[in-house]
Formats: sequence, C-alpha cells, structure tokens
Amino acid sequence: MTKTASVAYQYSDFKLPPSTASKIEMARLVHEVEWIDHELTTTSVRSKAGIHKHVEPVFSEQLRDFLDENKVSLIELSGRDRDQLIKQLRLLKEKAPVIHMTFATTADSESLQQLIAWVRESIHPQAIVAVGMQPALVAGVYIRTPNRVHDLSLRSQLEGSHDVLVKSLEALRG
Amino acid sequence: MGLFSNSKPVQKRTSSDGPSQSDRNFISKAIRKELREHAREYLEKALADNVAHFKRDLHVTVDEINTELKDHVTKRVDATIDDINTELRKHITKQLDDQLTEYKKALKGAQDVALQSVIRSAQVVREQHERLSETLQKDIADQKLTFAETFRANKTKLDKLHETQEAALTSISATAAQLEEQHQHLDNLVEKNIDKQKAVLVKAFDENMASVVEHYLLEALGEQYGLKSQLPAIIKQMEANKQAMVDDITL
Repeated sequence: MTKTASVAYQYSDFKLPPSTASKIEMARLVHEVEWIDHELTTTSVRSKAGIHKHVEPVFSEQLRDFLDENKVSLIELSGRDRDQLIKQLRLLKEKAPVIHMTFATTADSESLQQLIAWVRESIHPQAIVAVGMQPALVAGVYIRTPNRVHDLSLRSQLEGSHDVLVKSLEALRG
Repeated sequence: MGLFSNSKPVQKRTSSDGPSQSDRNFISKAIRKELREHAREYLEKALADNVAHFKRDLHVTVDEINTELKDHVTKRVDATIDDINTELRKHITKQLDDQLTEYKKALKGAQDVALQSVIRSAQVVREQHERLSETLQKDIADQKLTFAETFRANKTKLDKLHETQEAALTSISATAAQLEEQHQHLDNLVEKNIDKQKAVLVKAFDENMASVVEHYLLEALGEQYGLKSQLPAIIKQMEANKQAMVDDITL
C-alpha cells in the first residue's frame, strides 16, 4: 500500500527499522527527509518557473528501510503531506523512548541489531538505543531506562557475591 | 509199667469150660468171624495205647538221663579246668621266677660295669679340670700383669687427653653460647620481618582482593567473551527484567 496525498500521519504509528537504532540515526533520518523535501520543493518551484531539471533524489539505506517498513512513497507525496511527515518524524525523534545500554566490549552491529529487534518487539516498538562501553562491567549489560537502572553486568553479580568470594578466599587462606 | 499192663490175663480154657459141640454149632461161623474182628480191633487199640504210653515214659526217661548226664559232665569239666589252672599257674610262676632271677643277675652285672665306667670318666674329668684350672690361673696372672702395665701407660695418656678435652669443651661451650645468642637474635629479627611482610601482604591482598579477581576475570574473559557470545545470556536477563522496563517506559 502506498501512502498518497492527504494521509494523516501519526508518529506513534511509525515503525522503526533495525538500521535506525540511535538518536543520532533518528536525527539523520529526519534531516534526510527534510533535505529531500527541500529538493522536491525546489524542483517543483523550478518546474513552475519553466526550468525543467529532473532531479532524482538518492535515498540512504536507512531512509529506504524506514520508507519500506512504513510503506511510504516519499516522491509521490504532496508538499503538505511531506510537511506533516516531517513534523511527525520530529515528534517521533523527541518522544521515542531512549534506552541506554552499556556493554563491557564493543558492540558489533549484528548483535546490536538482534538486541534492538528484541527491544522493539518486547519493550517498545519505537525505542531508541544509546550504546556505550564500559570494560569494568566485565561482561553483561548495564541498562538505563528513563527512570530506572538495570545492572545486568557480571561486575554487579560479582559485587553481589563479594562476601561469598571473600569467605571462600579466607577459607582457602586458612 | 508193663507192656501189657492193661491187658486182661488170658484164661486158659479147660475142657470143662470150653464150648461144647453144641455150642460150637450154636455159634455160627458169622458170629465167630464178628468176634474175631472185634478181638482184633480190641487188640489193636490196646497195642496203640500201650505204645503211646511207652513213648511218653521213654521221653521222660531220656530227658531225665540228659539232665543228669549234663550235670555230671559239667561237674567233671569244671574240676578238670580247676586242676589245669592250678598246674598252669604253678608252672608259669616258676618260669617267671627263674627268668627274673636271671634278669636280676644280668642287670647287676651291667650296673657294675656302668658304675666302673662312670667312676673312670669322673676321674679323667677331674684330672682335666685340675690341669685347666692350673693353666687358667697362670694365664690370668699373666694377663693381670700385662693389663696393669698397659693401664699405667694409658692412664697417663688419658689424663693428658682429658685435660685437652676439658679445655676444648670450655672453648666450644663459650662459642656455642655466643652462637646460640646470635641465632636467637637472628631468629627474632627474621620472625619480626616475616610477620611484617605477612601483615603487609595480607593487608594488600584484603584491600585488592576484589580488584584482583575482577582484573583476573577481565583478563580471562575480556577478548574471548565478546558481545555475540554474551547475547543469549543478556537477552535472557532482559527477559527477566522485561516487565519492569516496559512499566518504566510506558509510565
């Protein structure tokens, strides 16, 4: 289904593809849509002025994923619909819940995409993930949601078992 | 007892008593035959009775004779056995007495021979003992003299040696006491140092134990335990905390 003119977009209906994971990627997506809108508007004005210069906008992979995921044909949208889309995307960028995830090692993109897919499936479909790295965590993940912290790292488990470890070492020491 | 005791005496018939011709005629032949039969039967019966009676008498007589004969034979045999026993005993006693007398004579002779031999041996042993005693006394006297001379010679040497040993022992004791004192001092120093080192090490270990373990785990797990291998465990833990995260985001 292709979105045509006079379609009312709601940011809460958007589905984010796994390629759009972080706040920066979200901002990049909005910026790209804005830029394409600008290009399309310019082309339209020029065509009205009699200057026919065919411009075929080039979409990034990230934007293409987003448009495919939400079944939107950006080229076919009217200027008004594009404005509305941009407005809703800005709202989405502001309102999307951010989950900070800190790992002990560098997060490879494949693992990260699996995690994001799980987060969007299980926690929130529009969740944005901010990734960090802290080797002191040893292993596991340190998650920060808007109001809470979930320390699922090995360091936390070690700290929790500190007394047990001390007792074991003292027992070994005799 | 008589063979025909029950038979009636036969009465001789006289001519006056005998039947007359008329009687004979009167007694017909049939009657005579019957009488004859009757007489025969009677005679047979009497004979049988007498035989049975005779048999019984014979049995009784034979039994009595047997008993009397047995008694008589037994008495004779007993008397004969007694006689034989008496004679045999006398004979054996006489034989035994003769043999014992001979044995006594032989034993006495052997005892005399043995006694003489023992006496001779004892005399020989006594002589040898006397000779050995003399030799031993002589040897002991010689040994005493030799020992006395040797003892005198060694005593002087031992006295000198003893004096030297005393001096050496005094010197060694003094050195040992000094060494003991130094050893004790060193022991104390080493123990103090060891205690100090131990306390420092234990303190450092206690203070840095958690860091050491963390560091060890980091070193051990760091590069080999990438996010990809952690992913199942992370997702499992996130699943466990899923509801709390959902609640926080939808707040």
